[in-house]
Amino acid sequence: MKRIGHILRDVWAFYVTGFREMTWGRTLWILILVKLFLIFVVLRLFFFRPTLQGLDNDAKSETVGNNLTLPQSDER
Amino acid sequence: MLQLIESGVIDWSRAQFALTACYHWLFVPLTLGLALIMGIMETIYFIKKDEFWKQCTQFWMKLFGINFAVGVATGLILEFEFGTNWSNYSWFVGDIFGAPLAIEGIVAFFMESTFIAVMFFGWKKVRPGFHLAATWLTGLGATLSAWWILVANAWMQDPVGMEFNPETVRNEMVDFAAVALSPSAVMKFLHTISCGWVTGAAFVVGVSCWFLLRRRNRDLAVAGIKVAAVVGVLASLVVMGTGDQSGVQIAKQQPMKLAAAEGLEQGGAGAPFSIVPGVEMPNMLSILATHDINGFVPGIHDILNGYTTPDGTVHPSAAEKMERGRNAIAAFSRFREVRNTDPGEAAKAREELSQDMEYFGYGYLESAEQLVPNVPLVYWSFRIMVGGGGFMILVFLTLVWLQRRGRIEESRPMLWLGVLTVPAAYLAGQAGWVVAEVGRQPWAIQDLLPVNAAVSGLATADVVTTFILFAVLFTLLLVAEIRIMCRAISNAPEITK
Repeated sequence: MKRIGHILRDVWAFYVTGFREMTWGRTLWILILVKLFLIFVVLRLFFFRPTLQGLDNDAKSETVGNNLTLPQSDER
Repeated sequence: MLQLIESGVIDWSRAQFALTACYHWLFVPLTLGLALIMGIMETIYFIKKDEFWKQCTQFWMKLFGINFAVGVATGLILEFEFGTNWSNYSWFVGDIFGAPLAIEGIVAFFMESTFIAVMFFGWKKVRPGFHLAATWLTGLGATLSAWWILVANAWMQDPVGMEFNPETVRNEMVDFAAVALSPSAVMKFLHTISCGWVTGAAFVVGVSCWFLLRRRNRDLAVAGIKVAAVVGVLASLVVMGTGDQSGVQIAKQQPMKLAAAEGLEQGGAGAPFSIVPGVEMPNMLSILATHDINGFVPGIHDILNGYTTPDGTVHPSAAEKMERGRNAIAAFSRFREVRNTDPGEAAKAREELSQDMEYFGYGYLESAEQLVPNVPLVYWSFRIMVGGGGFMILVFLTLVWLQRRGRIEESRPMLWLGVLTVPAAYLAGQAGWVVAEVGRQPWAIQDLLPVNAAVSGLATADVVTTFILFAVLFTLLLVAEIRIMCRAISNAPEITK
């Protein structure tokens, strides 16, 4: 257990030091964070709501089944 | 419901997906290609213990990091679009898409995020061998991640290893190996990955040639060309070999795509290959498509009207396929009506559906002409892809030759051609995807689901809005990448042997 804790501390220190020592990488991290915010918060929440969201599997099958069968193929 | 969907929604949803995929594909091949070249350079450093190669690796690693940072997560938007714009498709494909993408997500996250940190932060903290392993594993993680995406894409072109369940309205995987290791998936993976390697090689060659033209960073540039030009030649050979095999597969599975790529109206035995309109190589298309000088290659009209191959296989006309597709949809509809009330009738309807299931998607088409993709776009994209590839391999070969003779800095026109491999690589790669995806229209899933049935019933204005948002967001990202990349290249340290 003590050994695992030691390893985890080393891994944490590895990342913290790595991030601290970054120079040009800081700009990239800002870019990544802004992008992820735009993708997951702005686009996902406001513009890309899954059409079948909120339905259980049976309801999804029903909805897509209706979409794919109505109106009857004879009419086309 | 399908008839009520405006064609504008289909076109804008397709345009949006194409835009996202095209932008995503600007970042991915460079990640794959630079990962390989960095790995090779660091291996040279590891073997020779020469600090020069370490510095070279670090320079290209920095450019890799910029590209990775800007490109990461751009592919996620494609998954958003599946759920929003292509909901019928997303549900219909079922496990076929879910499993590969889930594996991709896990593999990509754990491999890339773990090893990329060691690669960037670990130069002074871990042993050289461990660092080298981390560099190669970062590249391997990106490559494996691409594997699962390409398996999903290959399944859309060649739907094998699945069975449609009318109860759930989903395709269910019955043979994982058939999906993951289908010849289409294997060839698509090798062709696409090697295309990425060529792009990485072209990028390193292009930047190195630019350094030499500016008479700066000489040693870094010569070392870059020394590694990248050889990688470029070898990767181009893989691209050519896998492209040839893909051509044979497409001739069997998606003959309309091949006919469109050739602008071949009427096919036959000993079909010629069109270099440009009016200039043909006799029998060459038959050789490429069937590996037989007199092999039979159907043209657009043959496919629409039906044809029989020399081995006696009868390929039904579009009209017959559409009729059988309508029968399949009618059987599916009847199954859904009676499944809870009349088990006997439901079993009969299910049996009828299975008999015509291979033509299910044809039932959603209103005319046979819908089966013909945009021929000029596919035709010219194919020529840009092949022409770009041919140009690059010639430049790589010449640079290898000049580099071996120590005359690489003498030929400035050749250095300019080296710089031009960068746009050539991107153009060829994008054109390749246009051939693959536009060439298989109208299908979202070959023969099973056309785009007009796959799309969600959204308002056109909503899709146009998100299209514009994407165009702006991705363009900003691209501008950011180019600016940061150019600055990093301009500030390249003077590395000497």
